[in-house]
Amino acid sequence: MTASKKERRFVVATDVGGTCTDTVIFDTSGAVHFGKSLSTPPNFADGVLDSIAAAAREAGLTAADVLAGTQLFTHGSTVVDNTLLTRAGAHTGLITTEGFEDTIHVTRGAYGRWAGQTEDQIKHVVASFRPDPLVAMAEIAGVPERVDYKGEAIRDLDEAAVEDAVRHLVENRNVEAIAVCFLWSFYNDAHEKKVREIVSRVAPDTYVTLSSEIAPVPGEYERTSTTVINAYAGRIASDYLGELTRKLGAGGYDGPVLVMQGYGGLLPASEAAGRAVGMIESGPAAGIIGSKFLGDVIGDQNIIAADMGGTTFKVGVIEGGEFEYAREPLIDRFHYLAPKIDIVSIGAGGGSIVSLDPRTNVPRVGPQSAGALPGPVCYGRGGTEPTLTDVAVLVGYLDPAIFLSGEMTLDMDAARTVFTEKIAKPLGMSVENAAIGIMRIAAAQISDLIHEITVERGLDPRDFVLHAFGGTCPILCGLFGQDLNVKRIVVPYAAAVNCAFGLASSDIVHEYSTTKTLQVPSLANDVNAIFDPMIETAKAQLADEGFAVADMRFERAVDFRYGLQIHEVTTPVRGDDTFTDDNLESLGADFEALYERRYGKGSAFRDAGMEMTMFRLTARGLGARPEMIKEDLEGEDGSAALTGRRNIFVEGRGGLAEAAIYSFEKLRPGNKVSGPAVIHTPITTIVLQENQTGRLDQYRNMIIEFA
Amino acid sequence: MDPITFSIIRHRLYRIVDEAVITLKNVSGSATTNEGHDLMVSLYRANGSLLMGGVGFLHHLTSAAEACKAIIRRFKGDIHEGDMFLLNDPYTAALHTSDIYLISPIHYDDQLVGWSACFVHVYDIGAMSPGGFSPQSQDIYTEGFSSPGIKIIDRGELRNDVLDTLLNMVRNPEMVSLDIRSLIACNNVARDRFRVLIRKYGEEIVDGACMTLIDQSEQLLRDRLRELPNGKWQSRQYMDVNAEVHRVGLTMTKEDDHLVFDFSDSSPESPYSINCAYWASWGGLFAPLFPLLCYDITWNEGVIRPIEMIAPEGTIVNCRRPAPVSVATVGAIQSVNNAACTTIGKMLAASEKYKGEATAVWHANHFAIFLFGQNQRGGQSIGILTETFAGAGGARSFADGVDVGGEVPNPISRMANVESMEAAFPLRYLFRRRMKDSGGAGEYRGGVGAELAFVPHDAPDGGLHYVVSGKGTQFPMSEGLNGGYPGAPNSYLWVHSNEETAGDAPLSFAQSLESMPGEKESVTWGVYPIMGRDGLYVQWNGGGGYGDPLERDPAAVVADFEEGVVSEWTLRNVYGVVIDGDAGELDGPGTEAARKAARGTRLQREAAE
Amino acid sequence: MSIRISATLEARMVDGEGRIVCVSCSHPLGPTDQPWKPAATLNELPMKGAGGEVYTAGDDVLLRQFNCPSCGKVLDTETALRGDPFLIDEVDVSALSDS
Repeated sequence: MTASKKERRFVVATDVGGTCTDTVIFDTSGAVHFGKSLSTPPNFADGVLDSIAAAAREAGLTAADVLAGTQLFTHGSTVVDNTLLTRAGAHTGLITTEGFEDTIHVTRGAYGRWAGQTEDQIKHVVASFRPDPLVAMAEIAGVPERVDYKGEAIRDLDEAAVEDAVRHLVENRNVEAIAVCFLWSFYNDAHEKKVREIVSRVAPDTYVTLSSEIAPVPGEYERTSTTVINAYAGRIASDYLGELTRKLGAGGYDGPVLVMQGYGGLLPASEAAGRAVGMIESGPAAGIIGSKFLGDVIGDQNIIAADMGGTTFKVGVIEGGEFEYAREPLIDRFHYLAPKIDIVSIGAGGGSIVSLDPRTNVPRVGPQSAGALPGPVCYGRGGTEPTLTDVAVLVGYLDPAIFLSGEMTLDMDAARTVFTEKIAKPLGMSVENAAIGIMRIAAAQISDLIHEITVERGLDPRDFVLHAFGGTCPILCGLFGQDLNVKRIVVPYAAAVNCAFGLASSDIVHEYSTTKTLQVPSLANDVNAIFDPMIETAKAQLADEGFAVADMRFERAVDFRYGLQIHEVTTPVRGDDTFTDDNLESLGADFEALYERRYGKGSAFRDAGMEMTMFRLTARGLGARPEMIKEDLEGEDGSAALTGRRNIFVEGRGGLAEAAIYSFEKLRPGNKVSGPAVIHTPITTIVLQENQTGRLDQYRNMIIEFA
Repeated sequence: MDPITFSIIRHRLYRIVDEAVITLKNVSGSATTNEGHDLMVSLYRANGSLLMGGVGFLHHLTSAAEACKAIIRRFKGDIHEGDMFLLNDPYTAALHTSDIYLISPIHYDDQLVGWSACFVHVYDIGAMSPGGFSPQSQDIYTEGFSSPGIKIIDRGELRNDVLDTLLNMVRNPEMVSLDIRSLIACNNVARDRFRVLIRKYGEEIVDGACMTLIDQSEQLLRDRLRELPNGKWQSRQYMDVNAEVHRVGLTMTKEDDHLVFDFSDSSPESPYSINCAYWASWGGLFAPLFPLLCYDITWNEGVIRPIEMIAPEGTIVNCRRPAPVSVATVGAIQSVNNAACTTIGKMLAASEKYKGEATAVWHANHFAIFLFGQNQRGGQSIGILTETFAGAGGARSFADGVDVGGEVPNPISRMANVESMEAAFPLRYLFRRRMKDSGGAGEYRGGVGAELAFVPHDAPDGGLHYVVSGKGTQFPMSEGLNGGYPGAPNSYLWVHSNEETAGDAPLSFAQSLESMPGEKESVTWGVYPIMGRDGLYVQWNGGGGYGDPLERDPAAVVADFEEGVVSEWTLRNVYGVVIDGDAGELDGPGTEAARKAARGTRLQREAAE
Repeated sequence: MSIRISATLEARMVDGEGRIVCVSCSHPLGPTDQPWKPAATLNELPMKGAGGEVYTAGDDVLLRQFNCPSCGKVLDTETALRGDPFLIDEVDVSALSDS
């Protein structure tokens, strides 16, 4: 029944977000088809099929045609994030070391009370709370056992106590999932493994997560939290992926289903199913991979990838084609330990409400948002608070008549009336000046945030290209891009489906790690003895997934730190050679250079010695990359696309000034446009400030250079 | 002032402080700085007044302002671009010697335009005891290196003679050197970013924004004070050192738009190092005031203007040189924190509008236990038990306190994982968990406190030593509010092993203080060993309660009982709750009757008169 | 007309005189220009008995409960060493007689 290899010409990528599910069908001929449908929580798999059908229609096909002709299905899903945010997970119990039952509730003291809170919330101590925990105190059982800091089991596991605990949790407390986290289990997992055996014997239907498998790293609070999150969302994630695989199969697809992870790699659904925490924030991670893919195509190695839509501004950094993992990731307000691309965000988007502090009259943008409904005043859907989108209309950036290719007209008068009443008048400013001021505040806040994830981490924005995604980012990028002095700005043609590009251009990536402390210097053989078995395991895994040795890549890294210090730096190993004393020494030197770059000049602390604390392996099975259609370049003259002129806010002129207005769809690759200008595209609006030049490249990306 | 530019500059000033804090934590990789957040970075105006206070240990914001002013006085005419000064003398401005201020003038176009100041609790300062808290010191002379102001960087050049002099006087000079370098890096970042801000907007506009920011804070606080009732509120804190009792007595008077904190009812200065000097008390009252009254107001000079303090010389809150002060931050300063929290809480509770902001006292008694000795890798370790940063929250007028939830004066602290402690020190925890009956009963109870115990493990010297100080264990200090009970006192117990059988005794996995083998001795002040099969048991106080315990929802009491944080005795005798003996379920009518009887008993008491 | 003094007390005009009263039962605790604590019943518990074994304080450390003599509600508490004076709180209620 299955189609032959030859007929399988599609790669399908589906990204499930909170509101919409996007699908992109890549045809090996180079054609690309987009489909969008509403997400369907909690049965997200239905929305996936809807979305595939929508994209198939764009291609003039049915979902069945597409699925029968698909060679690869890649997938990103918000199902785990959604499970946690809506508290819809399993009734979860925890088995831990006796004496430390409160570890997860106590959250290392105040840490769980302030982590993930804004500055304003942190200052308001009396109003602060911990979030309600995912596991109730009555469903935590401490059992006698102990492993010490060397990994030595100094107290046997009391198996009878474990059995009693399991029975109690399952039979008396109706627990559906059990998390197991013992002290020091990342050095010695025997006790945790034994608990799994006991659970599978006495309560075989119970979902079990072991900390030594899901997060074999030091720090019992964060490790326990991770284990609990995984147990809590695990059954839902695995049921979801199982159901999706079945539905795709019923639709005619029998190839691999690959699932995006928060670290920006794909895992086969069968493996992803056991690692729910890995799927957290995988959508934004796919966005970063999409940006990296685009960077590879057009030659950008250092990228600030910024996405700004209706409610949130999100930004991640790619340096030399690599990205950093978040140091203390949170989902909702819970800590977890899993490799995850570092992406930071603030509540700033087109829907952000502009307001005045009632006491001081100082204007602010966000953090409240009007969301999609009622949305900005100018949408005419009942919004009564002025938003950033309304301000963009007032400063001439948005054209009320042709918003989103004219699918919607904007009510400029309503926006003006509300803005005048609520902002301009109380400020004693003209509407134009007040609106200009608000744009400046928004740009400055974004600029400050990007500063935070670049300069504060030892990176210089001047070495980076800014990729501006989302409906709102290209409006503001000329302002904050210039302020940050980035090299240039790219507004990608495929911005709307960037995440899907990320899904389709990603590799299968397995992350392995071994926690062990070795003093520097150590024998090269001791290090090889740690990596060799990991590489063997990885090779077998990838071979199992059908990869030829030529398509496997192994990247090693070692976490180093200075003695008596708590900061660790993951130091990538150069090349693939096994360790010798020489290259081990140069790895130590790399660590020191990285440490000084990240923590500042003078921070390196050789006097207390150095140690290696964790050994990491990233194993890649190389995936295919989608083809981008490359067009021929035409002349620089873009005047054919000129549709008119109007006054817009131009920072270099200190106020409103005349700008040329262009239609993106009439621009040809190679055309150049000089700022001040506005280019209306079907999905967004690009604003060029004075002394900025935009050029459409062969892929229809808008490349903005500063004079 | 153009409100747009003002809004942008305000946000950027905040970012400058935040970035400087990150730099500080990055360079100083120490646990006290990174876990305890025992640090502070703030920006000051050219005259030394507070411009933008960061979220750190808040009693430093005003003391560092005074440090800037002291440097301005001392080095008049000799303050140059690229200079940096060190100050840690408590009789000049600092809180105690181990909290070192590094102070950097910020110049633009050869003009002094501001200051950046920061501190960390350095690894060691050369006092009698390792780690800085020095219970055996009888005067400031034995509390380590102390300077009323010295230039450590001269026009961009590090003065190695000065640094080496300091390092020559401390244990583990490498770690202290790193602490100093972290402070330098932090000030460099703050200074550079501040200059970029001026370059972009011009000195006049930035200065204008700064003044507006300060005036605005002043106006906002004065407006708030006017909304609060006028009145006079009292509170009292007790400290105990070796059975000697000390008091910090406070009368806070609010009239119209200003507040006076009068500490005249406090004890004379003590021979023990729990004293604090004037500027430390001043900082101590602001530490709770910033978050309790100014949670939505920028923390700067404007907040300070409406406040006055009376602290007579020669008292424990304004001691005279050479009285010892090394324990001040967990001694009299914390008592000032607590006393101010209570009077502010009473004032807020008297207001219909602000009653929701009132809180009983949070984590009133730091247990500054510094471990020191040879670690399992053969090196030397000194370090604080970071659990002291994880006190229990006070009850609010609408909710229980946060269990093991931190403290008001240091909003973003945390404690280290047990695994981090066991990796750093040759010891093994037996348990670390919330405790039973940590006190603070009330309609809303105080957050639950905790207990821990550890024993030596793989110690090359057979064990470790530790310095213990603070305010003793005789008094509850987390006062309740509006009828709530105070949190229970702390307790530190040295559990002596039997020396003769120590070598052969089985490893202990005791799960309670009662089951820890050996004789228990309360230790509160001094340097002690934990050797062989000894154990150290620490129990720390719950937060204060709010309201009458007999009005607490009986179901909440039963839930606490089931979670093991309230004993049956307390359930019955403090909360007046009756449970069914066998099922342990709430007996509603029984409870009602018991509570009625308890109220009746109260009525039979004498009038207070 | 009443003026809040604390969560448990307020000032009211009673028979033309300003009085501090218990919020719960309206029992008067004296004139507004006098401290109210002497009019309350006093329950001086040794702190040791205040909530289980962990209150290890010495015998002279007291928990003072000031209770409403009518309804028995706790109006305020304070920690005190035996012999130390009561803490006195005063809220300006002059607006009461102005009205």
